[in-house]
Amino acid sequence: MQRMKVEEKEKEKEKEKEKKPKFQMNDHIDILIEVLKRLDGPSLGVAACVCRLWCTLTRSDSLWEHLCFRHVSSPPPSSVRPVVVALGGYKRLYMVCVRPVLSRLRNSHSELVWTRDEVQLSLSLFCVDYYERRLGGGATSASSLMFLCNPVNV
Amino acid sequence: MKFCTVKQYFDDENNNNVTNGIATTVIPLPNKHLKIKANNKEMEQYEQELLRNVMPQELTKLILAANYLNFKEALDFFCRTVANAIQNKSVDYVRKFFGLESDFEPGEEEKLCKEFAWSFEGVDED
Repeated sequence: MQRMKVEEKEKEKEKEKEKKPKFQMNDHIDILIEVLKRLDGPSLGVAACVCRLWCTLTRSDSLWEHLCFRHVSSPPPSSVRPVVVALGGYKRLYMVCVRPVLSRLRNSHSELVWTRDEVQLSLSLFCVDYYERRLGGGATSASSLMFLCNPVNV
Repeated sequence: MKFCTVKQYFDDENNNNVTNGIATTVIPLPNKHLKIKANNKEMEQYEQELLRNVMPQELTKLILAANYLNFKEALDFFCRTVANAIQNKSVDYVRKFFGLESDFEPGEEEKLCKEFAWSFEGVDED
């Protein structure tokens, strides 16, 4: 009886080995990045919790940069990048300035296209956020300008 | 020429990257693309069909084949299809989809879920 159980277990192990897919997404990081680039913000957050590799990949600011300006009609000049990185990075830009606006616009527009003005507004608000943090206070302080990111009750 | 890699593929006998089955799916794609290009709805229908009939591992193979054959439109299409399939889904769904397992330490995953708590709002139910 015991020998049969051992044999059964070995057979199960072999079956499992066969079931494991030969082409694993995690073996092809460049392809995985291409897929992650096409996700929206919340899905990228979920992806970060999947496994260590995905977490490391989502820490890359270039993914968030791609996300921030994906809907922009003409991408901002490359000189913007060092400024954004110095002020806190694209992930923070997305969280603080882009996401609040996108989530409101999503209800009214099916095809989202940002113009240069909206990009510049986001970047300006990002600068405001940085300096308010440096000077102490931040978005929670009464005199903060970050209320501009919040929805307005008209 | 879009298909210089295809010629190379046929010339190259030792080819592990692209199995024959996959090649038969990817190579007729350009014709399909030209027909469907005008009509977005048909593309969506084709995408839905693809997702229903094709296992995630097959999709990964398709992406690899399109990448190897240097076929940019197909690569973009398949990557978009996979991204749409996992968009707005839970962590467990994504893991199941790709056959992945969590390799986090016990405390790590909790920390990450707290950090990304905002992304779990409005996630589709499995």
